Amino acid sequence: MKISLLVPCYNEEKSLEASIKSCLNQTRPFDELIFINDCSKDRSGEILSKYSGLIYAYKTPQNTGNKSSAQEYGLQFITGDIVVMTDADTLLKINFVEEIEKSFSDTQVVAVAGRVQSIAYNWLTLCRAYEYAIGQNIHKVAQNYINYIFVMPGAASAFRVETFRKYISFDHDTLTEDLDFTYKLHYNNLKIIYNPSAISYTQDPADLKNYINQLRRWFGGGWQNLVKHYTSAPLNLTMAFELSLLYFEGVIFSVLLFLIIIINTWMALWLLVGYLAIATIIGIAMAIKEKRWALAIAPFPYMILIFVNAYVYLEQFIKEVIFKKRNLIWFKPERLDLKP
Amino acid sequence: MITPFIGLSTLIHLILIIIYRLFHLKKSSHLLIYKYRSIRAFLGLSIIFSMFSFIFVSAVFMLHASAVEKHSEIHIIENFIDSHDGQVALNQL
Repeated sequence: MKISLLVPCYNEEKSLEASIKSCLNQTRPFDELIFINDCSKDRSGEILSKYSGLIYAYKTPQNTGNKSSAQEYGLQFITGDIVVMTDADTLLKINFVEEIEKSFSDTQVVAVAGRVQSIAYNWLTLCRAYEYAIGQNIHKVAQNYINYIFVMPGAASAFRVETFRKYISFDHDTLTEDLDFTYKLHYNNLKIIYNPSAISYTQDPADLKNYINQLRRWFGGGWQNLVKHYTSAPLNLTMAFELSLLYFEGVIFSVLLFLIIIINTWMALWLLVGYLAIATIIGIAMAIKEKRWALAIAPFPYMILIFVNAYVYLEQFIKEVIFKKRNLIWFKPERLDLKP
Repeated sequence: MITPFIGLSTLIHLILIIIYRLFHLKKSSHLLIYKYRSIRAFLGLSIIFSMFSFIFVSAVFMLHASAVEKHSEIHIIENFIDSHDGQVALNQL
C-alpha cells in the first residue's frame, strides 16, 4: 500500500518546518510527501526547498485563496493508493501513518478520520481542547458505531485515492471542504471509520478575535453544507438522526439560552450552575481519559464561550440560511511559532 | 466542533456508546437499509420530525417553566402591577 501525504500551505513559516519534520519522522514512513505552496509571501518556499530530496514541493500558478483549491491542485501529483490530508500548522504523532495503514487493511474502508488534539497555549486553546475531547471521545465514538462520522477533520484525514477521485469533487462553494467531502462519501454509502489512535496536534486560535473568526468559518461552512446536501439526509437514517440532533439542538438551545436570561435571570443563573456542574464532571472524565489534567478546570472558562458559540451559531444561521448571504472568504488564523 | 453546546447531543451519544458496548452490538451498516428508497425517505423524515418535536417541546417546556417561576421578570412585573393601581404602576414603569 503506497501512502501519500498532501499538505497545502500559505504563509506558514512559523510552523512549516516542525510540520515537515513530524511528517518525515514516522514509524512507518510516507511513500510520497507533497507540499503545495500556494504562492506564500513569507519564507515558506525557502523552507520547502531546504527539504527537497525528502519531499516534493509544488507551487500553484497563482494564489488560489483557499485550502481546497490548493488541495485540488496538489491531487494531480499524487501517485499513492492512500492520501493523507493535513495542514501545515499540524504535527503528526510518530505512529500516525502506521495507524492509518492499519485502518485501511479493511478493504471496505474508503476514508479514515484521525483524532485531532489542540496544542496547549492558553485558556482559549484549553477550551478548544475540552471541546475536542468531548467531540472525539463521545460524539465521534458514537458516530463510529452508527456508521455516520459527521465530519472528517481537515487536519487528520485519509482517503483511498481512487475513491476520492471518483466520488469527490472540489466545488469551492462552501467554507468547510472537509465537511463537503464527508457528505459526498455518505451520499454514496461509502464506509468511513474513526481511528482515535491516528493522532495529529493542531494549532487553535489563541485570542478571541481569531477564535470568533474561525467559528464563523466552521459554523458558516456547516450551514452552507447543510443547505447544499439536506436533500440526501432523509435517505440515510443515521444521517437524518445525526443532522437533526446536532442542528436542531444548536439552533433551538442557542435561542433558549438568550431567551431564558431575558425572561428569568435567576433561573438562568441556576441552570448555568447546573450546566457547569455537569460540564465539570465531564471535564474530570476527559482529563483522566486524555491524561491532560487542565481539562478538569476547562469548564469554568468554557462557560463564557458557550455564549460566544451560541451567538456565532445563530449569526451564521441567519446569514447563510435565512438571508442566504453566502460568505466564501477563507479565514486563516494567526499562527504561533512551533519549534521543529 | 460540531455543536455550540455540550448538551443533548452529548447525552444521546453517550447513551448510544453505553448501549453498543453493553450489548456488544456491531456497527450498523448503510447497506442494510439501502433498498426501498421511498420507505427510507419516509423513515428519515419521521426521524427528523421526531427529533425536531422532541427538542422543540423540551425548549418550550423550559421556557414556560422559566416564565411562570416566581423569579421570572414577567411574574415580577405582574406582581408589581397587581400590588399597585395598574395605571399608576405602568406610569412608574
